Amino acid sequence: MIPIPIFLLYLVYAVFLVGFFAFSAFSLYHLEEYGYVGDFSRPMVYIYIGVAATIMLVTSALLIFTII
Amino acid sequence: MLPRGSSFPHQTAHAEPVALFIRRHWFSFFTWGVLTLAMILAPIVAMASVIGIASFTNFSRTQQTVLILGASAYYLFVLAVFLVAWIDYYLDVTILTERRLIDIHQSGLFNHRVSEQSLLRVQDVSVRVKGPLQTFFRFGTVYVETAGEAPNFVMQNLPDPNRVANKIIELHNRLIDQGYQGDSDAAPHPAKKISLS
Repeated sequence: MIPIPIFLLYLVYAVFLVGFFAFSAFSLYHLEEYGYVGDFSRPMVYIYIGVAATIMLVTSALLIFTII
Repeated sequence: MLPRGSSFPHQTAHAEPVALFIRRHWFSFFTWGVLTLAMILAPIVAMASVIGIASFTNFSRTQQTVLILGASAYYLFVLAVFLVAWIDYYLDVTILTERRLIDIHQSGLFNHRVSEQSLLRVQDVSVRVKGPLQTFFRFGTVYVETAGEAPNFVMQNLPDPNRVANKIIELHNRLIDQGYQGDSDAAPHPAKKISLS
């Protein structure tokens, strides 16, 4: 059973992630919408998603390692 | 030149030729780049120098979870800050067509302003290059004074501002030579460059 403080930590992190996803979706849409110049908009979207996914994957791996 | 397959706000149906397509000078983004790098490195340096990375395994499970989730949230936050800075830099564009001057200014994430002016209304164009950095890296501010009630254009951190100013004057004078009336009610007259500093 997860102790309450750790559960709260996960809850706060989950709320942060929801905000981060909302912010990212809006920002990337904004970049696509107004990125009329079309040369670096798309690569930037890919880089952003790639880095964010990497951070979250490393976080998950470290958490699993910690739990084990 | 405008990259192929792209468009810009308020573009007319029969696409008018684009004479200049200018982003802000890279130096205006440089500060954000350095700040982001510092934000990435600061926790690593602090952790290594204060508590030592090796001691991480000696922490309790709760402490480890706090560190992992905190670091993860922090780096996602840094990534978000970088994205906002990038959008702020990347969507600031000045477009000079053969008939109009369009200045697009992005401030933060939510403020997007598109200003447009007929080149016929241009009265004075001036350039300001201030300080050693702007002089060395060749960027500065171009001021375009327009006729009537329309607000003047101030385009900051433009690379090679003298070339931009000269091009605006050249296109303005060409429009007058061609007798183009446009939609402007201002009495056209040749523009002049009032200062180069």
